[in-house]
Amino acid sequence: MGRPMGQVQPITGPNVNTTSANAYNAAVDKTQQGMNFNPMMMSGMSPMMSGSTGTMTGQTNTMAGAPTLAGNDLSAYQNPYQQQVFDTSMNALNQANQKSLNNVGAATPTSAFGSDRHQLVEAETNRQFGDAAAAMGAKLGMQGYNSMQDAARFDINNSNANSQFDINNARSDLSFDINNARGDRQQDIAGMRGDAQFDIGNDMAGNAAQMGAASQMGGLSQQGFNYGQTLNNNMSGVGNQQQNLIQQIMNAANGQYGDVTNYSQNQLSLPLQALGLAPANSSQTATQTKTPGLFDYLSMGATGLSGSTDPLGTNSFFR
Amino acid sequence: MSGPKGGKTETEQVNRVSPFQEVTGMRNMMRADDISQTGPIRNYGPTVAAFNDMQKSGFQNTADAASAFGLQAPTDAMAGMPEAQDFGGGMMGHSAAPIVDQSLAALEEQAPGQVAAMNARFIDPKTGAAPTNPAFQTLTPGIVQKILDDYEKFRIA
Repeated sequence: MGRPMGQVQPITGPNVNTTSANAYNAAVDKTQQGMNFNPMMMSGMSPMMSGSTGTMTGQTNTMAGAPTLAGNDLSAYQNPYQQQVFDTSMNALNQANQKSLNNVGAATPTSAFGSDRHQLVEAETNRQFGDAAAAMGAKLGMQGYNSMQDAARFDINNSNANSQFDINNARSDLSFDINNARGDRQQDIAGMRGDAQFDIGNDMAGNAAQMGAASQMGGLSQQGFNYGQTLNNNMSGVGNQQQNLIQQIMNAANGQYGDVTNYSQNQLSLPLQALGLAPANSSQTATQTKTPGLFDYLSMGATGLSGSTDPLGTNSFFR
Repeated sequence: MSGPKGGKTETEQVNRVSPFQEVTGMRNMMRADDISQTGPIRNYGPTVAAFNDMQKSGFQNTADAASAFGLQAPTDAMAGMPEAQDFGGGMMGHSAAPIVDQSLAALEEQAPGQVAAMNARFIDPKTGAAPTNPAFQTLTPGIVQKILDDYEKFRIA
């Protein structure tokens, strides 16, 4: 009894075939993804600088509606102590007038009803008091008014200065804003240009990647086709070997079947072989002399008429 | 050249079997008669070598590779193949005998007359019984002598 042939162990788990097939399928999938590659564009997602930049224009006062001295209400500038000053001055002037009147009475002798001169001097003194009082009141009023004007002018000047400051500020702010806007716009333009260049570069890179992927896909397709052809040929080879083995068995069976069924016919040659007459023959040659007579010629003629060339059986089985 | 009157002399050469060959031929003929009755001898041994393990592994690997790549392939690469027989000595092979048996059985079923006529000429392969319809009559001493007498009549001295 010989060594029994082992059974083929079934293949379990990953093997070189599945690994190769998986790698090939993965390559095909990735290549297909590469063929559909769409690069991300910057233009659609890049924020513009202009919208994000604040300006100072809205925060700057302007010259419109600036106050003037004529149109200004000066009551706010009136000296609240003007009346007191006026009253005090008038009192002092009145006291001086009273003293003068007293002096007039002392220097001018009068009767129980006074004298005319005395009355004239008092009247003159009162008149002078009245003139002085009027002059002082006018002077105080003029001073107060001038002070009010000066105060108002001061405010107006201040206002004008502020307005100028505001104008300057506004001008600076406007210039700042313009510069900002200009800078922002330049940044925007530069950004847009950069984005466009980036997008173009991305687009070109994407096209190149797609072209490369398409080319690789062609190679993978050819490779996969070759895989399939090779595997199919190998399987056909296996099938041919297996079919050939069965065919060999059938051919042998047919041969043996023919041996059985044709055995009887094949045995017909056995007697010939047994006698040594067929296929090879070892014999000796004998020479015999014969003098034919009349009968021989007659026999020859009869043979010719009958068509037989071996009337005596010289080619018979035993000869 | 002188000779008998009325004719001329003819010379003929003929092949003649030697007496030794004649006797030997007769003996061989009797032996051939015996042999022919033996009948066909079947072969129940191996006919074709079976696939070895390396070949079967190669077949299976080929099928597995094809299957891994999505091609249609049998799970068992040896499915449908006849089971090999162990003939000893590590000889795994296939015999044609079962197919021949089936063919002869089918022939006997389809053409029993032919099979009977064929088998009648031979001995029973299992029991060895004499054929019921031998090709030649059994050679007895009387028959042999008669044949020899007849043979003498045809001999050329």
